[in-house]
Amino acid sequence: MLQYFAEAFKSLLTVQGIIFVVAGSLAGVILGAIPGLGSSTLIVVLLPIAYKMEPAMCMALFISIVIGGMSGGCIGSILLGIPGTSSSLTTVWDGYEFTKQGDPVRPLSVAVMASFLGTLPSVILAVFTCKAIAAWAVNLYFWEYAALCYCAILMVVGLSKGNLAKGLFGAGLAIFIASIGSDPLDASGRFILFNIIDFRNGINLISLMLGLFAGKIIMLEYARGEKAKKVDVKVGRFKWPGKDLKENFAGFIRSWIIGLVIGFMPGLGGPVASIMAYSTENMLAKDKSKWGKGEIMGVLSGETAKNSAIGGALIPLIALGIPGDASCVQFIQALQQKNIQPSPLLIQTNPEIVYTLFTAALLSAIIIVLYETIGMPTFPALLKIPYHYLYSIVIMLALTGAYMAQRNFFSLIVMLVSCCLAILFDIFGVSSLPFLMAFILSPMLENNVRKAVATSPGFKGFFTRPISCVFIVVGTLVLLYGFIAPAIKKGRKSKNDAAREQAAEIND
Amino acid sequence: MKIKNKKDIGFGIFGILFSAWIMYYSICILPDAKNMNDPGPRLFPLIGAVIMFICSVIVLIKPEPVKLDKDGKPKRFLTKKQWVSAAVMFGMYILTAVLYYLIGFTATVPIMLFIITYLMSKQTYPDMPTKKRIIKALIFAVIAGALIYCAYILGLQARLPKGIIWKMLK
Repeated sequence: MLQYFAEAFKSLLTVQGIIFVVAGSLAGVILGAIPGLGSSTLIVVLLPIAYKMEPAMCMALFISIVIGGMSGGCIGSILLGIPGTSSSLTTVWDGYEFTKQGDPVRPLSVAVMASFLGTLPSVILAVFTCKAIAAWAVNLYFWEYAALCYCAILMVVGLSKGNLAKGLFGAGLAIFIASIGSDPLDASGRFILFNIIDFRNGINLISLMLGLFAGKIIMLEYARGEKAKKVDVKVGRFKWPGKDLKENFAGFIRSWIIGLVIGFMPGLGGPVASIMAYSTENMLAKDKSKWGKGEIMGVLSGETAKNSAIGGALIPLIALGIPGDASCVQFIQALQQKNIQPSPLLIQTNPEIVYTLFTAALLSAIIIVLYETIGMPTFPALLKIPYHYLYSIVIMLALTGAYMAQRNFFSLIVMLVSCCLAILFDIFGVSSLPFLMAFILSPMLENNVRKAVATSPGFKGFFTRPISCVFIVVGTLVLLYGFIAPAIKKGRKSKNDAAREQAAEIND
Repeated sequence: MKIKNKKDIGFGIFGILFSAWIMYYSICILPDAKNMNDPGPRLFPLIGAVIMFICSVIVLIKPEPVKLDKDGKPKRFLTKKQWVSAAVMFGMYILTAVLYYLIGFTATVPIMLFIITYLMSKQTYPDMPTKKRIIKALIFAVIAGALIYCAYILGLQARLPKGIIWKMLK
């Protein structure tokens, strides 16, 4: 392992490597700080040109952007009161209160250190666990793999926000769209709509993502006419938050563990991790009066959890080839462009990619903490970047990228259609994450299900093999829980209301 | 008073019809005759359609409660004015695609950068004089266009559309 790390370090110490990691980290921080865009938009825009890059370098660039974006999200939250990314929502609740009180440096310093201390150990843990999990996972066969994909899709549907039936509808739609084109086993045509020959190649994920993310975001930002908010705050130099960290050390560890576990679960990622950690610490707090009015633990918990979720999400990606969150889907797509299939074998067949990814993640965390501690007074300037310049470049790169995805106008049309689809999803409240996850996992699921059934007739094998059976049961239970949980909560609420009414009647 | 969620009812009806259409076409796909055990290429489109059908029925039977705004009126996704703006931006996307086809990548990028920047700057800085806005957008379009050209054509050597008009003129 050390040898691979040394090689990865050597390759990242080249001019190209340094540019990728430094530029990726800083670009991530800037885009993370600006509300609305986020680092995933930048990765989507860069995906079409990823085929020109070396896969290991591409992974280094992408992970630097992700870590930068995750860390930079706190800047907009604390200084503007608008979350830079959805993961930084909890930071607004308490962080912005400090700014209103004239002390933005304290929450910013805590957030910067929480980001660093959240990311670094989680990535180190991922390095060690990935190898062990991948070694176990190479013994999985078609049945287990199909069951794992089934479990991942249902977990994303069951645990993601929004209406469950609509989330599942999105997954069903993705399964249908993924099956357009040639059949993966016998190459016969399926749903070659209107006899258009371009459908034979299927629907390209890059064009789809460019429409779902970049196209939709810029269209809605323009439609809603968000005006540039003036940033009048002056930010001083970084102050070592030793006292805050020491006083809240137990809470920091709890938040880190919550982030790691949630990051590991497919489809949840940073937003859920930060909210879970924030609510846990709020629940455990002895004095709740300061929460929401400027409690430093409110900043520390969310920032730690969302960053430790990065390492958590890398584990299923590297060890199993299952994306932990939306950015991991983009990682998979970038590798697939190079005909590298993420699977438990990835760590054996392409160790240079895996270890470059880990090394870049560690280096990026260090670069970001250095920039954010030294350059803290420049944070307000990041929020003053004129949106109209940034958005127009992003949309041109997105449209060019959509064309480059398959080098035809069909993929450009796919992007435009998926942009409309994303707007429809928003109107009807369909979460796009189950759609995206099902779209990427559906071909893998189909391949394995059909090979399994062809090898031993019938679907009995999925239930007689213990690992496969466990995955199927877990996935189904999570989905069922998602359907039942609101009814249980409603029942409890009405019971409480009835008890309150009864008590009021007795009092009367 | 409970307000009917027309959106969800529409969603349910559309979902049922759409999934029924997919089911019909999926059934028409012939299974692979070589391997009798393989459930065939129609299995997954059918699974997708069945999932959509069931979910649409659930949404139709049990629509979500309507979200209300501060005034107690159903919350709107976008106002009429915002829909017009969204349509304008989507029109820009289509125009870019059309211009790519007609005049190619190199000419389209600066033109569209100028138009989109100008349109967006109108929103972000409404008080800025038009002349100043045009000049700023123009300078930005030229510089950013040149950078994009260098990155894609010279750097990545990407094969991008050259435009049929130039071909026809030759």
